[in-house]
Amino acid sequence: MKKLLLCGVFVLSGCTTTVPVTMNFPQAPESLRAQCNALKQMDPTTTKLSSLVGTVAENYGMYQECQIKVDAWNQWYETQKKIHEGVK
Amino acid sequence: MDQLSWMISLIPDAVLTLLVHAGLVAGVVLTVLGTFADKFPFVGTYAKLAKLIGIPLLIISIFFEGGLANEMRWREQVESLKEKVKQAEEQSAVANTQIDTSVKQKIKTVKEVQVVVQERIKEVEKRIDSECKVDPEVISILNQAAGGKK
Repeated sequence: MKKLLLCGVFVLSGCTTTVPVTMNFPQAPESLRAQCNALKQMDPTTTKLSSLVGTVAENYGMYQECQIKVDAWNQWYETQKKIHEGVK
Repeated sequence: MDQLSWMISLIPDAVLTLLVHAGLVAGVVLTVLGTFADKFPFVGTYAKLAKLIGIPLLIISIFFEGGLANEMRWREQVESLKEKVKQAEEQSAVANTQIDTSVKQKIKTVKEVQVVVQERIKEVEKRIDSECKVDPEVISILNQAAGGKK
């Protein structure tokens, strides 16, 4: 029975499809994988214009960081696509 | 048949080529000997046996010669593809490093600008707060816009 089982395993091993060449999916840079922060909310009790301007300016900064990441993602995709298409 | 070709793929190039060529040469030699050996005394008795082994060996060897040529062509293609994949992975890593460096540099610049802006606000804080008082409704509207919720 054991021998028969071994024979079965051996025969079935012939059915395995070995793909000799595979290209690993490229890992995106660490800086791109970080999520964009949510925009900052203001203290509802404040009446100071300086506080408002400060928060708005901070939110502009966060938007710019996110914009950089999105642009970089597009650049990363285009670059990797070109490299991948070159392997044929 | 798939299992046979899979097993063949495990044999190194040089060994496989040697085996197939040796089989072909042995097949030719045995067939020729089998054909003419019966004309010579003593060895003539082995003529039939030589033919019996030589002809099938020759046919099988010719079949494997074709298979070998095909196998070698595939191995060359695999090697060429492996080289291309290796180069592509290297290019990919270089591109990743360039993009990562560029993103970090740009984000650093944005943060530096933010520090300057916040300092500028602090400088004029008293003046702008004395000239204008913000209605709480303005804060509510801006918070709603920043939250992106209804």
